[in-house]
Amino acid sequence: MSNTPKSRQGRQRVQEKRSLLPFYLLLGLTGIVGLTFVFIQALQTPVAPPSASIPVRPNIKAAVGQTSEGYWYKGDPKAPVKIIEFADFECPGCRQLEVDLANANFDAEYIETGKVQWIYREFPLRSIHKSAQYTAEVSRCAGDQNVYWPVHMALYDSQIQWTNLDNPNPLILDAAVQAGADLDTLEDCMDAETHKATIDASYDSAKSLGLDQTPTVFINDDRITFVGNYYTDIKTAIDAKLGVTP
Amino acid sequence: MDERPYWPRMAMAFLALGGLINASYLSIHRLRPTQSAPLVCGVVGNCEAVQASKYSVFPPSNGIPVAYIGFVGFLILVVLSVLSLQRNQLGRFSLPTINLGLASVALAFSAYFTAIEAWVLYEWCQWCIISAVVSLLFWALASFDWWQARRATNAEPLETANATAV
Repeated sequence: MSNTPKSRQGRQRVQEKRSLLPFYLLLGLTGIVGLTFVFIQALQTPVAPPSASIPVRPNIKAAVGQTSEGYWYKGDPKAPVKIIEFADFECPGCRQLEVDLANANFDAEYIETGKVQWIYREFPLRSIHKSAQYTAEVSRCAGDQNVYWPVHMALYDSQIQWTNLDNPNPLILDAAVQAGADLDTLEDCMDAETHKATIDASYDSAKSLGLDQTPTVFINDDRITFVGNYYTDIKTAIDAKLGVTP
Repeated sequence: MDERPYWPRMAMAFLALGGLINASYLSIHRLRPTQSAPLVCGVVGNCEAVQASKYSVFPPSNGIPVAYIGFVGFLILVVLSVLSLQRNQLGRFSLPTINLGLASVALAFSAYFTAIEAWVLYEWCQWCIISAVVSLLFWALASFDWWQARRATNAEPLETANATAV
C-alpha cells in the first residue's frame, strides 16, 4: 500500500468530506424544515380577508365638493336622499362601514346614479382614539389639494396599520401621499393647524346634537339603526325613502 | 495548508440559513399581502406597521422590497458559507474576504433599518430584529474567519522557511 505525501493528502480530503457529511445533512434538514414551516405559516388563509383592504374606486363619477358648512360630500346635492355620516377615521366600525359599502359597490349603485348625496361630518372621538383628530385634519388638508375622497378612503384602508401606534403620523401621512396628496403641502397645512378649528367645530356640533358614538348615520334626518351589515341596513333605509319595494 | 477551524464557517452557514428562512417569511407576505395570514409579531412591536411603511422598500418609497433584498442576500451568504468549507478561493478572490465584504454590507443595511425603526418609525418588527442580530453574528464570525485565514497566509512562508532550514 502506498504512503506517499500525495496519497496521504487524498485520504485526508476524503476524511474531511466524510466529517462534514453530518453537517451538510443537518444544514439541509434545517433548511427543509424551516422553509416548510414558513410556507405553511405564510400561506394560511387570512382570518378575515374582506377586511384586509378596501376596494377603492379610483374616481367617483359624481359631483363632489363641500357643503355650505364646509363638510365634504359626494353625490348630487339635489339627490332625493341625503345621508349624513358622523364618523371618526380611527373608529373600527366606521372602517367596517366603508368596507361593506365598497364591497357592495355602493357608490356605483347610489352615488353615481344621482339617488344619494353622502355628507361626511367629522366626529373625532379624541378621548379613545388618539389619531382621530390628526387624521380628520389630514383629510381636510388633502381636500385643499382636491384629493379629499381618495385620501378619505386611504385613511380608512390604512387604519389597521397606524391605529394604536406610538408614532402613527408618518404612516398616516404616507397613506395620504400614496392616495395622491403632496407631502410638503400636507405637512405645511398640518403644521399651520389650518383645519384644527374646523374639526373642533365639527366635533362640538356632533356633541351638541347629543351624539356619542360613531358611525352615526342619518338618512333625510332619520337616524339609521344598524343591526347587521352596514350596506344592507343603509340600502334598506334608502330603498324605503325612494319607495322601492324589495 | 489551510488549518482554519471549521466551526466558524459552519456557524455562518447556519446563521445565513436562519436569515434566509426569516427573509422568506417576509417575502411571501410581501408577495401575497392580502392572501397571507397577518404577520406573526408576538409581543414585540408592530410588524404590519413597519412592513407597510415607505421604508419597507429600498430606496424608500419606490425601491425594491427589503424582504426580497434580504432573501437574495442571505441565499448568497448560505452558498458562500458552504463553499468556503471546501475551498479558499472563488476565482482569484479569497472567499474569507468575499464573505467579510458581503457581511459588512449586510451589517450596514441592518444598522440602517434598525435606526429607521428606532428613530423614524418608533416601531419594531421582531423579524427585522432577528435579521439584524443574524447579520451582526455573521459579520463577527466572518471577521474571525478572515483573521484566521490571514494569519494562516502570513504563517505559511515562515513555516516553509523553517522547513528548509531543518
